[in-house]
Amino acid sequence: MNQPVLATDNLSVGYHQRRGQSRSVLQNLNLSLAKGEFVCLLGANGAGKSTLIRTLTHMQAPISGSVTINQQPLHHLSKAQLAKQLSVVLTDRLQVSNLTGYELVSLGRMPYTNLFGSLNQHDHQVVRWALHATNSDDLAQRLLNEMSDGERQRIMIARALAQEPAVMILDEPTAFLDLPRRVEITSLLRKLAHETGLSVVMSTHDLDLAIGSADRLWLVFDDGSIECGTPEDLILDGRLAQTFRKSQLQFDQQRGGFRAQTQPIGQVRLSANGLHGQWMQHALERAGYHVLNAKQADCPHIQQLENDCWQVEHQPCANIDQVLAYLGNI
Amino acid sequence: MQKQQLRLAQPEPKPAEASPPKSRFANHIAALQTQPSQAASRWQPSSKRRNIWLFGLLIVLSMVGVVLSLTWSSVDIPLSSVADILLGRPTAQPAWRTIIVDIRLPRIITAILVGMALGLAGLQLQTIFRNPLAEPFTLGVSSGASLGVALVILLAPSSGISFAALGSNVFGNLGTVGSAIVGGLSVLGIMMVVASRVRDMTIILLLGVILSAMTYALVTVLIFFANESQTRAFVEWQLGSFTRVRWGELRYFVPVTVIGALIACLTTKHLNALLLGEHYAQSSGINVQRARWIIMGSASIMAGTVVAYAGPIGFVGIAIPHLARGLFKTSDHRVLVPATILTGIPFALACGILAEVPSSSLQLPIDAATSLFGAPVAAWVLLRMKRGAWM
Repeated sequence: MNQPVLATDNLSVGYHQRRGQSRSVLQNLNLSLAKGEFVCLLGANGAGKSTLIRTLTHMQAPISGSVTINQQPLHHLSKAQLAKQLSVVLTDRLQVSNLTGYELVSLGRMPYTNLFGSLNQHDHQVVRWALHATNSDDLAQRLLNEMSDGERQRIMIARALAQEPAVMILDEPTAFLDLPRRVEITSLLRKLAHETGLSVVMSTHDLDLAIGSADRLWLVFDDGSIECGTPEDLILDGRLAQTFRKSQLQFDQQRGGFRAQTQPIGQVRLSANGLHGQWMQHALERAGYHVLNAKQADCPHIQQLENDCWQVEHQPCANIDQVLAYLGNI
Repeated sequence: MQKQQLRLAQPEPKPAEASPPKSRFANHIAALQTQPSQAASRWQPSSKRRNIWLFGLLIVLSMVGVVLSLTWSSVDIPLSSVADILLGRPTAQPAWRTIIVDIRLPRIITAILVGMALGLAGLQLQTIFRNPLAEPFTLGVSSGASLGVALVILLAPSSGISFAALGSNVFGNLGTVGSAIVGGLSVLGIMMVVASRVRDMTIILLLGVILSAMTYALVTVLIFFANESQTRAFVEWQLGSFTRVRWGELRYFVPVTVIGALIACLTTKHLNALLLGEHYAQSSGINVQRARWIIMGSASIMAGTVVAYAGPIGFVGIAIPHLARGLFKTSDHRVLVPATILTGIPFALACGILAEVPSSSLQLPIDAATSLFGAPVAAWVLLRMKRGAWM
């Protein structure tokens, strides 16, 4: 019963070159995706995320190994059969403009419609549901060229959903969106997965978003392997930090984010708490100070006052800006 | 014990409703149906009524075009006499019957076929090449077809074959049409292979220009070695004119074009799938490679036949589909295919009327008239393309 919906068996992906040679980007992948699971495929740009996605969606042949969907290898399925199991949202630029949201989502019914592509009662129901489930009811009568980037992504997800797939695979769906829109799309996908049992794989290089929403991460390493696990496990055993070790960044295991690796310009002691304390620490670290909490001599002491003002070495400061200015003059 | 077994053997109780075809998210979809906000009227496209009006208007325009083409020409024939002739009643001037039946009717049918075929071929090529300026003429399909025709007219073994004689010659007709179709499809095949490697639409259009130049050079070489009567027949053909086709040619022109158009109608779903690009088409279960060849075949049949009988006609293939898109404000090929046919017919009839200067024996070459109409539309398309969304 707990069979994976999508699985790979010793899969290697890459490019077939001339004279029968091939260059693999990712090797020996044994991935599995459960029903109703929301997975983020996370890796640096150029790590091979798109190549893996093209292989998982049968747009590119694997170098070795195989991909199965509900225990059937992809290459055993006809194109129409596969389309009923798997749908995609790609980064391809859309040139079409004179199409309403409803018409676009209707295109997702292709695998089910007749030679002329006419929709029956059930098809219309599915299209309406797909629009509703992606909070896109209001986009039904809008033209594609009148939609914002975020709305376009939602309607493309609705189109993919109208295909009634077991698995939906999305290539960088949040790439060109602003932060609120990114959160919106990610939580929409997560909700779809958890509420409808759809299995979702989404590639991204947005670490915060992935940690904050994915059930599991597929983490692409430099050496062409992929580590799988819950975001928390991957943080705790240091594998997440290891992924990006080449870069000049340091993974902050406490906060689950990256910091540029720089030499501290000095030490300060901070006695503060609450929201103001948190953001003061943020400001000090951003300015390059190493912030200590314990009582230690030989460094400026920053104290929080009752009225949310600050005091640095007996010098009162009204806000963070003044604290930083005073510290800079010492 | 036995009773229990009996009960087990009974078939499962059927669900209360006959369930629709197996649906993965049936529960969720069913739950949505009960919500009051899902009234069907909310989803009804408001454009449906408008489309019906537009189709009606275009049909009326086509009829007006037909009537004008019948009456307004170098010899003025009153409408009542035209009606008499068409209904088989005797008329005052027997010569008028010849003009109407043997000259004007074939010309009208040719114009209708040209508008329909070039419009549809342009629509198909624009969608599969994802290029707003793609059409038989710009992609070099017409040149390829011309080369095919040139091979037949200029290299025909019996020097007696001239285009005028083709009407009565089954092999001449099918030979010309067939070689035009093969010539057009060969060029399209080359363009498709290039387009799969080069994404830049400007380069593809330039390549069409280059291929046209090459085929034109080949035709010139062929003319150089042909005799005078063959050359004259070819040059006359090359200028193109709706007036040349007679009933004898129409016996082949009509069925072949209609076959091409029928194939085009059968490819609407594939064209719609290709709206989002080949990857999305593939992911929705379409065999993209096969769909492309069928679409290119249909476009070549229509464009090749038109080139064989009416000569290479430019810009109509760009203008008509874009006019249809602008009128119907949709990219859905289930609307666009009939819309293109119905826009193409009055468009080509108007070009035909323009080509025939009334009350004089002057006759403009038809491609001059179509370019006068088509070129501004093509320019308008170019200027509108700034945001990259045009389909």
